[in-house]
Amino acid sequence: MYYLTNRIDFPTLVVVMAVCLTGVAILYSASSEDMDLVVRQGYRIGLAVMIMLALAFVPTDTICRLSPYIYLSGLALLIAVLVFGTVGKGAQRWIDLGGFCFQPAELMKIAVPLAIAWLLTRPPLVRKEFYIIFGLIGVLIPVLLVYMQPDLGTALLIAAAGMIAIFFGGLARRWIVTMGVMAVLAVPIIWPFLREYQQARVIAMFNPMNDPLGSGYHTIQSTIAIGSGGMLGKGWLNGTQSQLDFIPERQTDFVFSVFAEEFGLVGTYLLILAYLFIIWRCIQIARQSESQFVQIVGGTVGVILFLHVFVNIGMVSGILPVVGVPLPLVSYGGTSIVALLAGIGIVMGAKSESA
Amino acid sequence: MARYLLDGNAGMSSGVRMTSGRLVFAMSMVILLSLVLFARLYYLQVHSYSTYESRSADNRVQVVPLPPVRGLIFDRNGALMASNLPVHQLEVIPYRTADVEELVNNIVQIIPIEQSEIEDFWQSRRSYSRFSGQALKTRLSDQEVAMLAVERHRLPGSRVRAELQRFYPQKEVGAHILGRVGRIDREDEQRLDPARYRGLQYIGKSGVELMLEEQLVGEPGVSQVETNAHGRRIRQLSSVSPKSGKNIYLTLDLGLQQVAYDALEEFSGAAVALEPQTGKVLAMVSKPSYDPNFLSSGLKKTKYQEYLGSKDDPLINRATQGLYAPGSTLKVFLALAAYEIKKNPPSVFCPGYFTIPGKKRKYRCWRDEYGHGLMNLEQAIAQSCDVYFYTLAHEMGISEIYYRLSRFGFGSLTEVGLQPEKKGILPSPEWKEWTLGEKWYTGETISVGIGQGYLLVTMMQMANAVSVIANRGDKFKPQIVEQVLDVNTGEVTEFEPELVGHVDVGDSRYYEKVIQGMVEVVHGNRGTARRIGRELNNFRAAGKTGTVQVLSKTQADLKEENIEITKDMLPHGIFVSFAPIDDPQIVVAVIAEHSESGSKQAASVARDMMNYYIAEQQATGPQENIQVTLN
Repeated sequence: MYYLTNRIDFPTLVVVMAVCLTGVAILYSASSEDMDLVVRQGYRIGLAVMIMLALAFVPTDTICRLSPYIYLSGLALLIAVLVFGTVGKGAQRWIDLGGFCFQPAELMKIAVPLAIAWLLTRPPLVRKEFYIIFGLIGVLIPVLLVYMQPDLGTALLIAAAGMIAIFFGGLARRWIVTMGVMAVLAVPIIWPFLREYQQARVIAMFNPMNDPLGSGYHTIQSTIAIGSGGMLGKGWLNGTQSQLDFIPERQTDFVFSVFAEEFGLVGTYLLILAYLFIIWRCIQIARQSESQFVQIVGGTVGVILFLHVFVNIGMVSGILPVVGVPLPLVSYGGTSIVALLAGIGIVMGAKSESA
Repeated sequence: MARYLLDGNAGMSSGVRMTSGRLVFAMSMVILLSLVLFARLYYLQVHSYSTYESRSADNRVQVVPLPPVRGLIFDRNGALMASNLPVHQLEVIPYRTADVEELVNNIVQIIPIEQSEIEDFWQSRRSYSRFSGQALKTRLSDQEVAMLAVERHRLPGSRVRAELQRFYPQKEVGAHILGRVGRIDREDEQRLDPARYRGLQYIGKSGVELMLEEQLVGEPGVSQVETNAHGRRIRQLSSVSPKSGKNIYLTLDLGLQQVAYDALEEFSGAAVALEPQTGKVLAMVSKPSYDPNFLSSGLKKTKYQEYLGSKDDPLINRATQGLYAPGSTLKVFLALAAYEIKKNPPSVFCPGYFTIPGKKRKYRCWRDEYGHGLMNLEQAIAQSCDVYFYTLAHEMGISEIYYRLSRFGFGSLTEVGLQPEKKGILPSPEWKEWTLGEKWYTGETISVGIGQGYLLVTMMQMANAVSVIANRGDKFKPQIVEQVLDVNTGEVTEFEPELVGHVDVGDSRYYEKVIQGMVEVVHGNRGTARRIGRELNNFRAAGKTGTVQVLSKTQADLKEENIEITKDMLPHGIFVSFAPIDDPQIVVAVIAEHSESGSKQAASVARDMMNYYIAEQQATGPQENIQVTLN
């Protein structure tokens, strides 16, 4: 029993389960009370939680030793996906394991930080700068493979996960500053290369009324839904915006609007606080650990979780362009939940080893 | 916890201490950015609550996309080649039903659905979003629509939708040039502007449908409808009509296209006809063909796979993607080079074979029993003497040949606009070094002299190159589109012929000399295509035959070795031609695969096409009317 309590961080588990169950409840409302959809999502969450708990019992050293192999298998799967994609027709991101499909690209969101953490905590055989350059290459390869699928959104998130891991691993400050400046300078250079609709989305963010029936429509309807929720919300299953088909992609990217309309400010604040609690636990466990591997993995899992939350809520509330990032643990779909909970499981398990 | 508060990092390694610091920094950033979210939500949900609350209450207005009608495609004379037919289709929306399989079984009990359609449905499941409708059966009859409406309560998750489906009246005849539309798939979604394609299901996938997608698609409209509290539509408030796609008039002559299609009979191959003085494509046929109507519904996955799996590759446009050795048709271009370089190219004696000086290997002439005897260049063209051109190629050398031929467009894309187009191979020592990593052998130059070896061309390139000869040097970019009509405004955009260059061979008389040789091919006593020369109606043509071995052994060798000759072992026949000679109206390039010789089926196809087109021109064109009276 002691072992059990030690390997599993119960506060995190409780909050994760609470967020997942909230997600299932809101999906029921967003899908116009489609029980079948809810049950399917329930199975996925169940599977994801089991994977999380199982990983919590694997010693961190073992995970660390396995990291490069996980990363390499992930790369192999990505290449396999691309190869099958050319044989079959069209963009192929899925691998079918006998009726059970998953996206290797999602796996990379965890596999890349693990591999980076493993790499940057090797005994220093060569100068640290070389490790960081290897790390950058290690991030770039899967990012390009995913970009070729083509899936720009996921590619960017994998890039972010990798860069954050490198940041925790000790990227020198002047490099960080240089890269930041380059990123800012790149904006006007990249702008003409964006597709017309991507530009339209960015413009729509600053001035949604510009094109109320076009790109701005989603944002306007979504902010009306959130704003009309008020302090306490319209109540579960009672969101008029959601129930009357005004909100697009209600089960996936815009699920937060449905939630905000039905549960109000109290609901949204509690949900964000719940995310912050999980993020804080991850970073806390990382802080307490004497292993830099755990520090890097814990920090990256926490920050990546936050990045998803921030971008998703930012886009549905009209302060970021609509880019198609799901709300973690809540949006309909299984692979991203499995990937995220796997990461949290690894971090949880590390807690007992830091004492 | 204690360590966190007391900052007990003293005993840790520097790396751990550094990361620890960065973790604190990260957490601060997380909290800072969270404050942005909190502030934004406070602003929306508390500060502006009353505004949004009233907007939400008034929000009874829904926006419904109105998809535009896709533009029509006509030939140059206004004959309809692609239109839209209203059809009803039965769709399944997977996420609205508990059990898709059961739903399909229930539907089958109500209306008949072929097993192949059900297989198509299951096979293409993966490529559809769960939230969008996937077609189970298209082109429902009125009776079927009524039967489904009655049983609707039993079929949750299904719906019957009316839509316009693309229809190609000529079926196989224009398949490759028109291309087809198909379902918007996930790959398309990645690059499309969702606002532009709101409410649309189809997109151009190949041929003109793909090339002119921008023009054909139109702009969607929107309708604002007021709904009651239950979301049922009460009335329409306003609407912005969709703008129909533009109508396209191709340069194609449908009658000529049909003639070419029929004339190829059962042969695989391709035929391209151009108007040389403009570069307009008059006909482009590829065989075997396919019926695009089966594919445009996005439903006939099994039919599609049948086409894909067929070893004849009916989906390939052989006119722009089929690569063939040009065989003896290349000789006219080498002859031009010979005149340009040597001014007065000397005669060559043909004993039936050629040897590279100092080497033993014999390169045989096609007429290897007797040889052609002493040949001048014009005779060598007319009788297609291989030895003359072996000699010529050997003297010119591969680099010279490469340069001279590249001016006619060999080895580069014609940019006719149909994607994907192949550019073939115009070999050079550099090319061989780069692709095969080997050095060039002299013997390979000899093969190029008769249009074989590494050299590969498309019939589109061939027709374009022959146009240069017909024009005595002027080179046009081939074009498919005559004009685009914006049906919303009546505005017409004409596409002007584009002169891209002039191939100067030093003296324009050299063109006349080569053309004279080509006239001899068709009309001379010993011309290789003299058979069709007698069958041309009141006009004269210039041409050149080509026969391309598909095996490394000759037919004679095969006979000697008692190998049974099957149809696949027969050589390909190529014929290029233009007419009339002095004022060329049409250029034709034809390949008939395994038709034994360029003087046979390929020449017959060209004959039929030229006869049809010249007669048509004489019947309609004012200039030609004068000629008719003179004749």
